[in-house]
Amino acid sequence: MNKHLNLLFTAVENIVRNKVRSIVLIICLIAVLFPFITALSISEGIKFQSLISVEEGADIYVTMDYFGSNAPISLDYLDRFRKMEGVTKVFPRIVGRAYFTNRLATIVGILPENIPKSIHLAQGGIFHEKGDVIVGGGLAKEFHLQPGVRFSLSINTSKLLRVAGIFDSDTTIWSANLILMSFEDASEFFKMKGKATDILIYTRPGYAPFLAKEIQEKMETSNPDQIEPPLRVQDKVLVKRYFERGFNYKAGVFTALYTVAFALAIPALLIVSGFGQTERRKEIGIIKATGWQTQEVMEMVALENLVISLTSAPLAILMAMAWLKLFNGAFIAQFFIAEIGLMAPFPVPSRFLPLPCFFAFLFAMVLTMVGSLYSTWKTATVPPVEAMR
Amino acid sequence: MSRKIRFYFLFLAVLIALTILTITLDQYSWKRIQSDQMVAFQRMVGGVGMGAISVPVWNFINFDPRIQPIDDSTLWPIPGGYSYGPDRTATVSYFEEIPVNQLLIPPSPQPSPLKGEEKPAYR
Repeated sequence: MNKHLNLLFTAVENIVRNKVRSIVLIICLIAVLFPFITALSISEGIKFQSLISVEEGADIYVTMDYFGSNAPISLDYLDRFRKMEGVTKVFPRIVGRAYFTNRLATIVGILPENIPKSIHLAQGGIFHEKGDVIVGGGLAKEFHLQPGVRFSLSINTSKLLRVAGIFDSDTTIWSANLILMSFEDASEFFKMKGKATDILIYTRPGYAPFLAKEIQEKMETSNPDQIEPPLRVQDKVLVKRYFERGFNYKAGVFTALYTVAFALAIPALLIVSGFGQTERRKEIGIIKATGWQTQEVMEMVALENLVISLTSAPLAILMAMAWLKLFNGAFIAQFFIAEIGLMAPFPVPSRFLPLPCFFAFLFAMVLTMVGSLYSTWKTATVPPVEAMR
Repeated sequence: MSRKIRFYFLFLAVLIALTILTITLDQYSWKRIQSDQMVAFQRMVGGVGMGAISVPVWNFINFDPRIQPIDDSTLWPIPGGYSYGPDRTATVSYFEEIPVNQLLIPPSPQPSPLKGEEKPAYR
């Protein structure tokens, strides 16, 4: 045990003595790990918000299927769905998009009775009059919107809207550029009376899969004389599949890019951590000449790598955390969340889970080990005189 | 053990302890957020937003596949080609169309009569 402890002390002494080499190595590792940890934590943060969106969303979403794409559904279906056994709530919704000057906004229209009294807004209140809207914190900040401000959008200039309230900036990332209005207002705004983007159905526990199947089968055969496009039914099981597949890193371009970055980091660290460094070769030659075994040299270098990794991984985690939590991921969050600009108009969601942080440490270990063990072994197995030359 | 080594070990211990503490605090803060505004908002709108994009640029699939699960950006400018959607290049989430089996094979037709026994179609 004493021998291993002495080797550890020697390893730390080496790190402290070769300050420049150690600092360069730690900086290189932080540079490699920082974006990796940042991306994983943002991904976990969004995943968390996304899961809430899935869990708190409807049990079944019904739209029309026009030529294979989702299309508006007639409000005539509402009563038919309400009468089905196991259905607890049915409401129509409109989700669209429009440009607020140069900024793209998501327009959502819901029934006013769906708005809970507990909803907390940064400013103003929920809509009470026709034309009242609640705008996202991002839009309000960018265009200096205040409750009471009236505006219209080019998609329907005759429809005058009034800001009734402003969403809290930390609601979700999707509410930052959102304009919420009543279903009636949204119908008038998009000039789509009697239609909804989708009909949301809430069911008793366990009823959703059967109801989804029933809607798909029965609604289409209920009136064979009337030729209507088919319905597209999406239940929670399907939505959860989207969620699971959407956040699978293998599917992202990010992983591919990062694999390349890691692959490039290995030869870079190989050079930095000892390969071709005459000083390092001499050191190994000298300790071999004083009676050290190759195994002991290898253990010392491995311990050196362990200490370097234990230094750089926590530093990279703390730096990523500071950048995301204190500076709201300024400049870097836009690489991971599309369409937010240099400074995100909402708190960038980031969640630091223990496992990705442990992976960061493992990556650091792999990189330093790959970069140094082979070169050390090669130097340690040649005669000391040759290594010292 | 020299002073420098002792100092390095102390620095390492503080660094690791600080990292574990901040990760734990972060975990705790996310646990508290569950009952916060996100739930109320998503319950109110029936679930809006799923992917790492703040607005439905180009198409809805990455913003929320429930609204439009079809990636129509691959239909143009080169049909079936690479998607030029900016959300396809650097985000940490990626939604793709889930294939839903729409193939229905009807029951087998009645066996056709033997050769020479066919009746003319006009009868």
